Amino acid sequence: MLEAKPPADEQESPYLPKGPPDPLIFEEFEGMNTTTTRPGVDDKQAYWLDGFMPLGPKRNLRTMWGLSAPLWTVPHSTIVSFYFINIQTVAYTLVFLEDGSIWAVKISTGAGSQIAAAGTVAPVSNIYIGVTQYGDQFALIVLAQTNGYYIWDGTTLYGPGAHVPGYGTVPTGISGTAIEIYSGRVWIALGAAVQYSAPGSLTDFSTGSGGGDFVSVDSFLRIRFTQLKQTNGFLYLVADSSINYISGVQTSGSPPVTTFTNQNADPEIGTPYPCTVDVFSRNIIFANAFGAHVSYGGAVAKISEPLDGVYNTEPNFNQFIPSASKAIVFGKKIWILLLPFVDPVDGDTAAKLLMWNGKMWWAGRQDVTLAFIQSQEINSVLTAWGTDQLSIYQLFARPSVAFKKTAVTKLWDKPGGYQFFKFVSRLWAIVQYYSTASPAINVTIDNETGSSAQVPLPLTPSTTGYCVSAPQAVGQTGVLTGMTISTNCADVALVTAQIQDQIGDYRG
Amino acid sequence: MSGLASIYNVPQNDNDRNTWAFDHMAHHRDINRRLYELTGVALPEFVLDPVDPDNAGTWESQHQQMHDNQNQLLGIEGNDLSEINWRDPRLLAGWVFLNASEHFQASNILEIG
Repeated sequence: MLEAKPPADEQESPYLPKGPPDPLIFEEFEGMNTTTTRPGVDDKQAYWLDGFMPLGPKRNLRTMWGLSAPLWTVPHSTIVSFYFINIQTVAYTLVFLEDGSIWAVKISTGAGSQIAAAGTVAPVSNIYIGVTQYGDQFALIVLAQTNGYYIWDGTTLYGPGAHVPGYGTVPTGISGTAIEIYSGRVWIALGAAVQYSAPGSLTDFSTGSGGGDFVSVDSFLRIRFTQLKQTNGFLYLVADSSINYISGVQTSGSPPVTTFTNQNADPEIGTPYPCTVDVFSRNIIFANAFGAHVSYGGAVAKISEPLDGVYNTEPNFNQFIPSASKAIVFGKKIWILLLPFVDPVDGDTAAKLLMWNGKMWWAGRQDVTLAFIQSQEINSVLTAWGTDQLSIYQLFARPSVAFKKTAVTKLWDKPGGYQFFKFVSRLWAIVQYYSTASPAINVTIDNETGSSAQVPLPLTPSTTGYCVSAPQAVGQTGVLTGMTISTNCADVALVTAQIQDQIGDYRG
Repeated sequence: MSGLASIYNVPQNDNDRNTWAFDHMAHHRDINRRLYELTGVALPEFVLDPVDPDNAGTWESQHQQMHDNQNQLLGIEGNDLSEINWRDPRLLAGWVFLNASEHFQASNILEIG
């Protein structure tokens, strides 16, 4: 009797990978990377993060908060820049207006008082204004005009020739664009020249008392010293395209003579943008035309390679003067750079924020278009502030639905590879709502040529907390696939999102 | 004022080592400068920044030479600092402390902080 043979096992196609394809999961959140193409981005990174702050190491991509109510609104003219100081325990910001006036605004109340009349400051630009504080007693201001040295004690602004009780007469003839207190002396930079005061004095710059000056004729100092900043026991002289340092300051003899070491730390990298220069974890940080940099001692390292795809896409920043700030956001210390660039998603060129936590980068915006940002540091609390030239706001102060937050994944060639055509039919996500204001989260499924229609994640949060989406039907085909996630939600964290690709045709 | 405090830091990574090397070199410059101001003796200065941890032989001998020179003028009983292991955190910590101790003694004598 003949028996039928059982049918042969199904043969695997030599062209298709074995087993069900792995889902494409977006949950590592190790910052964004614009320096390569979207398919070239590392699996753990995003191609673009705008308003989403990675709080990893994984599964936490939180929307950033927006502005506070205005601290202070300018009564006339417009705001050029502002600088934070404190007189004893009272914190102020000194605000420089386009009309050349100076205002002192008390942070606790927002009350502003004019301390210098219109026309006092000329020229008015944040690259020509230097402000620092002398202990908790005085704010020192230096301006690029002939008589440009001012001292403010919280009540009175002492100009050149005025007598500061107990501290001498404010000298005339001093001007500058940068000022710092280091080793008990006032240091002021103007062009290639640096002046310093006698030890322990904020008004006596005479050589007979141990004050003095020097002019750099080093070939690498192309134009000028742009900022003075002390850290780690050194005074860094940041110039437009070089960095020097001063150390070992000593005054001795009769008459007293001040000596110090003035050495070059880097002969080719500096910055013309003084308001980007700051200290970040004991290191000098700054931005220039080709990126953001940190000086680890004298070794200047570029830290902004992941931004190369957007940095300076607006040539010469379209005459915008970049500024930077530091802040503690969601418990993390971050450095924030404000400059204009071509947004790779929206295509607009307004000034936006580029943020760095010491390891990774992301972008962001606030409720208004910012023109200048600045740090406040008091009691070790770092706070970022910004202005749209009309008002001063605290950044990241409260949840906001006024601006869109966007996260763009890489374009995966998985599963299989780019020899396969894929179909995407399902989307899943888990989020954690900290606020349910404007909770909609929309997703487009992208391929190598474009994006699908936007679909909402099927989330129905009634309260804050975790929310697991139902499977969302989506439709996209392509060789490369990815996601763009956007929301105006006031405060939500993306925990994870994934799509499931099915391999279609072998393109051989 | 100089970067004396920071040369007590034990480098944990490449960035730390770059910072340490810069601060350390700067302090040697300050010592040499101050010795010149006080004695008129110009001690030789070697390039100690950056440090190549994989090829530190020349660095070690030149650094020892700088310490020997300044110790002789300052009357400091020095240590043998000629062997440094950048890869062993325990040995490195011990070496950093010995080296910083000599800088501290020199700073006190020269009043450069």
